[in-house]
Amino acid sequence: MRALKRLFTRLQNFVIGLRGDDRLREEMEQHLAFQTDENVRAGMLPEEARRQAILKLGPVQVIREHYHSQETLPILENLVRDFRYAVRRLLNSPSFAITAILTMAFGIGATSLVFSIFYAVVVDPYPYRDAEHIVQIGFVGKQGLRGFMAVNTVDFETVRHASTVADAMQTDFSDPITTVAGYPEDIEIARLSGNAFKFLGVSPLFGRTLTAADEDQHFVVLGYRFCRSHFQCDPTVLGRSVDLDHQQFSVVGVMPPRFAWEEAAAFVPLSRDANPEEAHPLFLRPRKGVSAIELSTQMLTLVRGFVLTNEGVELPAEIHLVTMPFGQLRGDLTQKRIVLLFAAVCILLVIACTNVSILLIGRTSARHQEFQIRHALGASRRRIAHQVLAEAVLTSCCGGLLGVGLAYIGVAVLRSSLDKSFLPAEAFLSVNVWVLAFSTLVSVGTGLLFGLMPGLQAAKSLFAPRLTSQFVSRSIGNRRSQRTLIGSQVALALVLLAIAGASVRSFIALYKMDMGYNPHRVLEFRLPLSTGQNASWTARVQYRTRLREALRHISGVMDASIDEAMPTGGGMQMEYGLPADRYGADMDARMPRADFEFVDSHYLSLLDIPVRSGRGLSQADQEAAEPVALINQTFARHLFGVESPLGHFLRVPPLVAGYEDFARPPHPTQMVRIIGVTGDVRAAWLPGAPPRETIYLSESLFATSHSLLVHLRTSGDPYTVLETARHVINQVNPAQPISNPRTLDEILSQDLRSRDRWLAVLTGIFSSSALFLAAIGLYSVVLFAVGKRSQEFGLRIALGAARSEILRVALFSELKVVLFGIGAGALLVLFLQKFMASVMELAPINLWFLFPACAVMLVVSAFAAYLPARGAASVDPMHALRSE
Amino acid sequence: MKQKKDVQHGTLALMVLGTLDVLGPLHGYGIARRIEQISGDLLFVNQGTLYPVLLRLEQEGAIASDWGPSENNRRARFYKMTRVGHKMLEAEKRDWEQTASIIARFFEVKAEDLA
Repeated sequence: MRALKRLFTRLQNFVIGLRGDDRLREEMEQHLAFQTDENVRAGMLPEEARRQAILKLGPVQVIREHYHSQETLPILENLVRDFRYAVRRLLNSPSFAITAILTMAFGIGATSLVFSIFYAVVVDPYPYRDAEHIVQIGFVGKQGLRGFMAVNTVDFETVRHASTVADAMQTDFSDPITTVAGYPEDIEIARLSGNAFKFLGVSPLFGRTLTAADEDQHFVVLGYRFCRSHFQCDPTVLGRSVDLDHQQFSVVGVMPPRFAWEEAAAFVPLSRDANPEEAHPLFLRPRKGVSAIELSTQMLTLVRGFVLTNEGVELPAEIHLVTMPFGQLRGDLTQKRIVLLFAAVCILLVIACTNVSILLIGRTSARHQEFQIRHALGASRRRIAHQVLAEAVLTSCCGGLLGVGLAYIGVAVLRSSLDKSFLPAEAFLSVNVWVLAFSTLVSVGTGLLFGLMPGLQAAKSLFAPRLTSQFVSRSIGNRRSQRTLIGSQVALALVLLAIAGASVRSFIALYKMDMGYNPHRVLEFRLPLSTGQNASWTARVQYRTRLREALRHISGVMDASIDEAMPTGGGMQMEYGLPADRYGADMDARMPRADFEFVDSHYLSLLDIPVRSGRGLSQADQEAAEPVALINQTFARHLFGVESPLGHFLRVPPLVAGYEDFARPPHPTQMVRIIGVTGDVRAAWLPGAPPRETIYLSESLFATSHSLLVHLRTSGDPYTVLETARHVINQVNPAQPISNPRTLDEILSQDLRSRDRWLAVLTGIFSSSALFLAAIGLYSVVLFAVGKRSQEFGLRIALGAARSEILRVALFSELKVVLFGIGAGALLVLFLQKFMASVMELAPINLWFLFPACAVMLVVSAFAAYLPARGAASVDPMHALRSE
Repeated sequence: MKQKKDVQHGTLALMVLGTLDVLGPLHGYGIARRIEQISGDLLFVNQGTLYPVLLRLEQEGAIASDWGPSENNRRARFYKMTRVGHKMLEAEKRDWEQTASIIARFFEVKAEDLA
């Protein structure tokens, strides 16, 4: 406490610049006067009395200094002085200052930018209260994750009040058609249980959120993006009415931009009375201190009870439950990629630091004489090292300031150009307080880091024997540390090149991958169907055929398919069973899962998915809803081995159950006959992953009343047919909206490959910058080295050495270090290789890639060394010798 | 000849406090004189070193100072104890006595006592 008070007083004195020197002087003067008087009284002569008094008082200057150092904080004072001196020095040598500051600005800017991405995606992606504790309960069977726990509104209350659960919410989706914009379109709506907004803990931008009291009311809360695109987003929107599937909903609130729950456009209450038996997905937050296992154990007990009461069957014994943290499914791989990106940019930062360190060592060694003189005049080693450090920290802080500016620009650029799917919808990319704090920390930290070596060098050089300017011994230490730095720089640059190489290669692999279908020049759009439209099954199937035929006859359209299948992935996973006569009864209970794709007779040929054996779907199959199916090769091999699967039966789930508005096809059955085997289709974002098992069924077996997808294969640019397609569809049915037209190529590159594309782009930029920085580093080292030896070269030339010989000597002086760096880098890459492939799920670093990378490194190094070496070779002997 | 000793580091502050406690407000010279007298001239004080110590004590709040007229009508800076100073002195005294008594016991101890 006392020490603190004292510190505060001293700090205050330091800040207000109090100098108590006058007070001390007066006090000491009085002291002398008292002592002199006393000495006189004791019988001394006045002069002698004063002399004795002065002797007794002690060395005045030392006392004053001591007094002063007690009075304020000498450390701070020196710091201020060091910084002032550093500013002057930087101003004196602008070329050094600009190079160093720009290098640091670049390093810190890039790091801050990636940190802001890291922050937005990894640290704080969701605005929801306590988001890291929100979990979903997943069902896991033998084949892995089967789905998520969903309960009806009655059982929900039981779950909510379970002992391990702090709170829970239910959410479901629908995509009703709205005419807010003047034309029909379908939007994504999240239906939320009454307590959901409280659970998520986000307050509205305007108006209010939905509460438990609104459960049966027609109220809607708008999402920010939808509000922006369809209304003026101001409080006047409250009270307006929105038409959703011909029902009027009154707007009661608007959510802020980051509230993008499941990317819904708007939020309505999940009403209880529509169908109390319908199950809705569940999110919950466990009580504090409850472990994941305790939670899932209790949930399993509850689910067993629910299944037994509601469906009268036992839950299969092998099913168990796991808790899945919210956001984990969506963001896991992205997070890994961003961590990798962060690692890459940190390497870049270290390289930048090394570079400035090299520059600074050159500078401090030139100031060697100055340091020795200062040391001789009483400056301690620490003070001298502090001065060099101050210069380094000042450089890095200037660089940091500039770097934050660069990060602002970078964030603005990325925000407009990053694909939406790169970040979670809720994540907000910005340079926020944390990013600024990070940048500050990095600036000061890097300053200390790269100032350390030059600072130690400066302090060490004080022990050199003489106060002369020309001797060799002092530079050896500097040269050694410079060489260490340049070697590590080369090694790190090589590692970065390898990371970039791996990212680019995995991205290229994604592009080149044979996905089993041809995605080029295919337009996809969605046809939302109004509920109740074309009520009978026959009418529904005829509507599809009419639309397809109309679309097929557009000029420029080579083929059209109306289906409910997504070749790019994300199709429906459902359970199927095998008939008991072949595999025994227990097989049904196991319920393996496969991707179900509901297609029409044109789908496979349109996408160039080959039929390997048997036949494809025919128009007749479709019109009669024949219970037939095609399966892909992987599926066939898994189920039937080498035996032909044709003619075998599969049990599919009751496709029409659970939908109030289903239309019964002519032969409702769950048994389908396999009529063909297709080629495999692979997921577009995981080159190494095995193809998923897929079943193709005729869409007419299902005849959804929900929405359909249209795929058009075109001869030219797919978008040129879009307007005609709209027109043609309008002629068939004027009330039919079209939504979300995109080409498959766009879906692939924007949604599925954007992560890898951006990783490739950013690591590419970082590694080329690293190469550039390493080249600059090498350049300055060679320049420094040949500068040191210019006299020697002059002498050699004077004695008759060929200039080419000098060039050779200068060029190869640093070659060993570069080679060493490349060797170390290659070893590091080999060490990292396994990690990159397994943890990051990137394409493994190709060892053959190392050779070109090393070659590039070598060529760049040679070029960087050549420029100063040529300068050395053209040295004028007279000039060089005269400078002695 | 008697050897004069330099003041042990840190004890000067204690002496200053002790002096002020006994004699009330004093100026710097007065304090230096008293310390010399009390320590029986055994202790050599480079008297100037007193002033940084006084400053430190003042910063810690143990003493307060103000200008005032001295006995021979000179202007001098007078130092006086504060409440904090009294507390500090008490604490330091206890510490010091404890240390001294422990050391003293070590000196008194004889080989046979430990047998």
